[in-house]
Amino acid sequence: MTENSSPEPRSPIDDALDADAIASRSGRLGWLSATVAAVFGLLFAFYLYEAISQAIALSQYVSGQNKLLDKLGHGLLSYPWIVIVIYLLLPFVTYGFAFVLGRRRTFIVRIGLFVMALAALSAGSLTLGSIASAATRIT
Amino acid sequence: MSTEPDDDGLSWGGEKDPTHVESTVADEARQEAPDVAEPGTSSALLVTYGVFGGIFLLYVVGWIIAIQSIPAGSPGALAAVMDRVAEFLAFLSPVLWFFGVLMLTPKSRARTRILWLVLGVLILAPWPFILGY
Repeated sequence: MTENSSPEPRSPIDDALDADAIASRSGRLGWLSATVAAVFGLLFAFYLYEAISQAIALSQYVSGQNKLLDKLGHGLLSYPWIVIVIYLLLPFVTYGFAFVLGRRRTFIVRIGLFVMALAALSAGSLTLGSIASAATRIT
Repeated sequence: MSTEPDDDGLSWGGEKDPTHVESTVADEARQEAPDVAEPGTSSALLVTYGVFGGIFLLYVVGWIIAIQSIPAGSPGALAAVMDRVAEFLAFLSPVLWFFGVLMLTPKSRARTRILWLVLGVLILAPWPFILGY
């Protein structure tokens, strides 16, 4: 079998990936990984924004319903504090897990971890949002 | 069994062949063999991974059903797009978790992998569907 003696041409992407891998091995964040972390940070931040929006909307809904229920002499609704606190903390926790587990890993693995964490956050947010809505439903 | 080289002509010559069942060399080879996963263990692990795969597939079905009944979130075009993305990721989450754990922990012990999979089973369950919300 003959081997081609000329090295394969390297693209700027290869160079960037290599530089990122070297930075990762030394525990630093290469610019490629930093960009990915920032982009995923924005996505996670949107989930936080959704959680804050739902927490405020739920608070207004509960206070409005409680005024009505008080006039009618029925039992009042309670605000699901525990669910809302977990809902608000979940984006930080999932992002933190993905960020910490991705240290000293390759660029692709970091992206994989962020996608997994985002998927887990999606499932968790939908679950907590549903539980919060169901907990404040008048039966 | 002969031990003297002069008596070699009187032996069958299988003593030094590790594949010979009665050979002492075969016993030594067995004792010196490095710790390799026994076939029984890896089969049990494969079955375990298969069970987890089945559970996660059921979760996907559960999420698809659950998403139908979840009301829309915040108003706005961006929020609507993000809601669709979140729903898509939610029903893909069990699959992503299963393959993610298997691919990202190639050198981990089986117990570590199974713990990660159990964590996924707990947190990625389609609770809105299970609880009937």
